[in-house]
Amino acid sequence: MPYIELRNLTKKYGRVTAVQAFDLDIDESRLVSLLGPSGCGKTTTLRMIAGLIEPTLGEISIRGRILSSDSIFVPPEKRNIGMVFQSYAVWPHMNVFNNIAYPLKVQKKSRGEIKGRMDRVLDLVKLKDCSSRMPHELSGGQQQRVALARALVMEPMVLLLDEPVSNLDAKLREEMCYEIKDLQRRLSMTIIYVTHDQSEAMAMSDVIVVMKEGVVQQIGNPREIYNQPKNRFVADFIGQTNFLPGIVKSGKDGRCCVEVHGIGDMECFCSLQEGTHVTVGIRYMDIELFHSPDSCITVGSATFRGDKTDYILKLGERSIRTTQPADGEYKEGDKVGVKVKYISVFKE
Amino acid sequence: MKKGIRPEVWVLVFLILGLTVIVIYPLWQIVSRAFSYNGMLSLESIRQTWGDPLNQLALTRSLTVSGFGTLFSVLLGSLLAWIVTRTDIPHVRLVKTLLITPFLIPPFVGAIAWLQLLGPVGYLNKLLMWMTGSGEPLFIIYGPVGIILVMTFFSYPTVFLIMCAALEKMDATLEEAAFMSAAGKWNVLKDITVPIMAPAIGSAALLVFSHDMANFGIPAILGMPRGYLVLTTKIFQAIQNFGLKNNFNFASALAMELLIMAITALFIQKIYTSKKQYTVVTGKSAHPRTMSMGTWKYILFGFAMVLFICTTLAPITAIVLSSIIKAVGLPPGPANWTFNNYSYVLLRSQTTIRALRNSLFLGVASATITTILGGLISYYSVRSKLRGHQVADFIGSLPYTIPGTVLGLAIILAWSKPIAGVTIYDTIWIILLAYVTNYLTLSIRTTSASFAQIHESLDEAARMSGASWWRTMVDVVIPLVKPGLIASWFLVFMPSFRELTLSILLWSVGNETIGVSVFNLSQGGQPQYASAMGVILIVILFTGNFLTRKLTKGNYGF
Repeated sequence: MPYIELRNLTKKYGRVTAVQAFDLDIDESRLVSLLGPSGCGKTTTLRMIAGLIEPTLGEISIRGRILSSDSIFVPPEKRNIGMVFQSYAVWPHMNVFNNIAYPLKVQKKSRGEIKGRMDRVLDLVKLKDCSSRMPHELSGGQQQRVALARALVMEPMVLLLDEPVSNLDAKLREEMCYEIKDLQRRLSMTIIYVTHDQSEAMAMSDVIVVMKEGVVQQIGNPREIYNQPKNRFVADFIGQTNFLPGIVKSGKDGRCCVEVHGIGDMECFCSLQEGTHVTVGIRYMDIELFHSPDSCITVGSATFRGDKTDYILKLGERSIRTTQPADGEYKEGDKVGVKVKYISVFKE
Repeated sequence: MKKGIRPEVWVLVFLILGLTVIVIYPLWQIVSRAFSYNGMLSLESIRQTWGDPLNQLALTRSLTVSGFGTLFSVLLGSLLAWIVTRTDIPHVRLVKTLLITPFLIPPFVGAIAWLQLLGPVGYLNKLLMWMTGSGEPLFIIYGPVGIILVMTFFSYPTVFLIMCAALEKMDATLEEAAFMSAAGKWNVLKDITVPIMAPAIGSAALLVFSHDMANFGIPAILGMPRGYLVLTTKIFQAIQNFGLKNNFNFASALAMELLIMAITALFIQKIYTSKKQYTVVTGKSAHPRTMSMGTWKYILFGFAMVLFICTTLAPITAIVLSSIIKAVGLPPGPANWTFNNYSYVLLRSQTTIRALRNSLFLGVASATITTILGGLISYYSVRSKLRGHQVADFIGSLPYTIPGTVLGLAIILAWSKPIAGVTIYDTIWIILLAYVTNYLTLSIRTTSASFAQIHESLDEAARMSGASWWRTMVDVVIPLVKPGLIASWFLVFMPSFRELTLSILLWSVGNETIGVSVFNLSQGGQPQYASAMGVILIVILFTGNFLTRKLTKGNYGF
């Protein structure tokens, strides 16, 4: 049986549907990301699992225990779910120790047990020396660890993280992502992670759920999501993609030949009929350039970024973008030919 | 856990019902009494009352004194605000603190104080008479001029504070652009600053006008003895006139006039503030620079200090003097000083001792009740996503916007008859009910500002850590709102303690408040005792303010 089951989870506010018929099974010890732009329903879904929002429809169960359904609603304090808020929500009037130990205090654990768990968790998040400090004396990164420790100390069934690293600077963000992933492995923790940053999701997740305007777009592991985006939105949101119109010229046994506007014929995996109008997605990195004096494609601009160079290429009235190794020798106005390694195809 | 109607919904329903009973029901009484005559539905009461030339005179006089009072308060307050925020006068903080001291003095005590200065036998009058050799006092503070003067002295701090805040928040670059366009200080002031401040000025003017129209103490002390009556004092007389049939109907009809005006003013305020075309509060620009005034800065400083002396220090000195004088009319030299008056009011007179005790009880009780009730209403208002919470907030804020005399009358009409065999009329409890109704909104405002500052995620984190709603309140919310709760307590205690307008209508023998006691002593020709009580009141209020500042770390209080 799956560890967490979400069935037909729906949330409506008046006429607005924030989350639509969300179905998901999550296995134990997995890190699942809910990924999407602002307003896509990812945080609403997370808060429904936490019990902070009551679903309009649908069912939530963890380990077979129903937490929410048409007739049952278990309040958040009884769900044994740990949550780290985007703002950390560290209580300003309690020091680090009291903040983290609070769940144990509420559950009236014995002194010995509190000491034991606190020692372990403070070690885990590397806050051993800070336990008597007040929150305003801590940095953002330290406050986040306090929030994490507080969620972990109650040894919850599930850990919910709501954009936990978005308030940190880039370097710290990377560090924290590694640490969270490391923690997950060590504790075999089941984690649901909400983020709008696709590279974060890719780096950390076992499963990614891409959402848009309340509707699930695709569920899969990072490689599947990246290499086989199911629709234009996913292809656009993940990685960097160009979109060009195309027509299917022929198709057989799951392989097609597509005429891509401005580029030429390309082969790809799809099961569409001859004559279908399609949108073709080409990743910036999947394009190779070479000098070609007779080509109709010219270099519009070249931007050096240290580790790579970004080009805008003009195909008649359209333009596409590509990322090339930094030592490229193409200048504005050069005529170039392109070799595309891989395309994705979406029906219009 | 089975699903049901959330507890929040029940609490909200209970709150709204309760508020409807203590707020809407009494107000409804006024409307229904105004439209009845001899017990039947009729326009006769209104016809007789509004048509009576004496009542029309009272209305005109209300408008006159309030109008001029507002005009002068706005001019004085705005000018002072500009001086304090925009010029480089020395000792700015001192000036600012001194100029808002009138807030701590009850206006009716101020009126009594001014009587000591410029009454028929007032010290200033005696001095001027001696200096000019005149046999008659040059200026007596009774009458409209005196009323306007004292109203101005007690209303200008409101304008001052509002305008200070508005001027400080104004975008400096607007004025700087004018300077860069070669405009001089005077032009910048009249072409840029004043027009942009117009909405704030209008807002302050409306507030002061409503306040002045609703004022009872000043016209009662400076107008009634000479027969100069305004609406509030006329209503007061109508209510006391038990011998006249339908007197409550007439009083209600008069009260309707005040009520209509108050609601209109509120309406205009709401429209005004929702327009917001002049929003010049920007986060990033620097504070407006102060202008260098050269030697003028000393003159302006002097002006502010003279003003302080005239409006505040002089009357306080006068009332202190009167409180230590052996008998009325004696010269104020040290030879005639005594503490007799204080020992009388504090130790010998049963009435005044009772009054002090009553006011203390009423102050503590209303502060505590409103803080708890107001805190609950604020919590649901700020945290709850239910739509009804704004209704609760609105109903709760009605009484404060209604003139005290009207509210007092409403409460008499609503609760003078026994409910379920229990009468609260003629007891101290009706006064307590009036105070709670009136000051509830102060508590709501203060506590909801505090609650709003506590991000909801702090509550939610506690819930996720396993704490129940009650536990969350105790461990997380209440400790963080404590300053707001303390502030709310004092903010209600102080006005309750010094209150006059409601208690003068609702008191009975044995249930006097300090306000009633001071008022009666003054009207009864015992200014030395009235002054002593007045000084005691002022001392307690200053102490209370000091405590408020200390306990809320300077965030609240003057």
